[in-house]
Amino acid sequence: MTPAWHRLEAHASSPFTRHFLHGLALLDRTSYFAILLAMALMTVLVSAQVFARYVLGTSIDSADELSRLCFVWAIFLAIPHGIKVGIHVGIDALVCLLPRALQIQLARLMALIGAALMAVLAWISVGAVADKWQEMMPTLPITAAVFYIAVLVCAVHCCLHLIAQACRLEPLPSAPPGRQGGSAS
Amino acid sequence: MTPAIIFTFLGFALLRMPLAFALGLASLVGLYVGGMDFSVMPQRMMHSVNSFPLMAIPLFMLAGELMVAAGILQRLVDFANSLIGRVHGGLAHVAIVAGMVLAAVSGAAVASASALGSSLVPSMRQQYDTGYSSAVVASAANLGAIIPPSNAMIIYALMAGSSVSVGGLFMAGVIPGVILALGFMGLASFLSMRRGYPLVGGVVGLRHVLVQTWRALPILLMPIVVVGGIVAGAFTPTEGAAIAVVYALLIGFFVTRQLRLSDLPKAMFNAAVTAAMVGALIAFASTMTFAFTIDLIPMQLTNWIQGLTSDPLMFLLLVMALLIGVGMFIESNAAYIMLVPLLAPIALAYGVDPLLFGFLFVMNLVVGMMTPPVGVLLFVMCGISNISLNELMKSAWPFILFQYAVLIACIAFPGIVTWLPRAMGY
Repeated sequence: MTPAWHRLEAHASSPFTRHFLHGLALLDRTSYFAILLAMALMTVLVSAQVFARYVLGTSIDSADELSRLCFVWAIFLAIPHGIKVGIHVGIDALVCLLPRALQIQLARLMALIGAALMAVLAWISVGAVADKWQEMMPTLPITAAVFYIAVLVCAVHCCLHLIAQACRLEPLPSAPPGRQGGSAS
Repeated sequence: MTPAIIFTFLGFALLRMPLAFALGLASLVGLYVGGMDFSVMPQRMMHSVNSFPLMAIPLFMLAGELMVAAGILQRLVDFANSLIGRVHGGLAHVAIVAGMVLAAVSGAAVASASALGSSLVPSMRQQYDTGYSSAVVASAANLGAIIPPSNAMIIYALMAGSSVSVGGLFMAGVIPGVILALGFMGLASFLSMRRGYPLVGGVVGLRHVLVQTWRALPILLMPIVVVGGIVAGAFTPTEGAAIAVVYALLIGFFVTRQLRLSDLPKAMFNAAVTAAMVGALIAFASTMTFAFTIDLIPMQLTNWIQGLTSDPLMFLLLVMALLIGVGMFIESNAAYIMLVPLLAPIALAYGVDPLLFGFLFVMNLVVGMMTPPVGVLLFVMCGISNISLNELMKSAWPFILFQYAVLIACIAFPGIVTWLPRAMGY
């Protein structure tokens, strides 16, 4: 999916790093297909509901809940991909005034703190999943915890990308372009 | 709890932490300082995103992506060119009309800027100055967030709660959107004549106009079907967005025949990732909003502002001044998510029409997308046209000033905004 990323994987310095990057690539690819599935299902369900209402004179009971489930999964799965491509907005008016080397170090520090946030969120989300496991969705025989599993997966996936960026294993989009920054890598 | 949240957020945000994560860190600190259970965070995050109305955003984005992949832009440009190509600044008019129709399809300004810029700027810069071409396209793209459907209005309505409806806000944007488009065209003509640009369009012929209108008809009908259905109450904005996706697929596969099955994954992935940027902000801000509510911040803020002035107009002007500053530095989606839950209830307390306040809020931040130093549309156009921000600003400022003039006109004459939605029962 990202040639620059694969180059980095090929030049990884240690077997551990290679395995880490390989695992992350696998996770990226899996979540990519899951996002496509969730988006497609969401579109089909919402439009089928309109079709059923006006043409067939009926409604699909679980369409609303299932489409919301697909939406929640699509959004939470796409957040880590946003980290990878640097789509999450930030204020760089102040940081731009700093020397370039300091900007890169600051971007790495922010990635590391972001990774810590995601690790904490993942830990809290495990508790939320456990709490909700017995509860069922109103219109489907599925545990209500599936909504929280999306948050958990998102937190773990984000954490891994932010660690990779902090350790310079993948491009750091918030750093200025250049040899050590992310954008040009 | 509130001071800890604000200082943590500002500290990390100013160090270029993505705003969504700065909100998340501030929320965690707030929960810790307030002695609250951390499990609130995933619960609030999930509940804030688990929303049927919010689903309209990725669906409208997907519809826009599919329409562009289906090659609608060339048909729109041909249609606009047949109508208004043969006037001063003809290609600029073509960009503005194409921007208007694209706005009624995609609902997003940045997507419109990318699509219009990459397809129109190369031919515009052969006839006109690059700065002028880019400024016109950026202004045309800005219509994307004013003319319905508008993703910005969906986010506003969601953040404002039950005080305002998406359909009402959509209708509030129609008349100001048309005024803006006509004004942009007038400005484009004036600047074109003043700079001595040549006439470039072909001679207008009725047969040619009819042929191009027929070719563009399926695209022109889409906003009528989608927005018309939403406003008539036939379906919700989210259902309208899903219908827009199906409509775009039908046009791409059977009318223009340029859409391929292989285009779908990229379109769906792009729509999801762009929507995830908004989703992340909403999710992480939800815990902070919850903490503010526990600390009664909206009520305290209302009391404080009402202590400053009891005049609704003065309040409105204060908020507009604040938003002009905010729009210059903060990305608009982040601003909606952080400020609407605080300011919309205060506007209600002052008795300001919620539709008027919502529209002015959205329009102010939309203009902010064209103001430096943080003007997303300016960055997009600088990238596409390969010009400096200074060069672009030399041509963009008349268009920015005109947008602020329309904003002031809407405050002075609220009927511009509220007449249509009220006439339609909102």
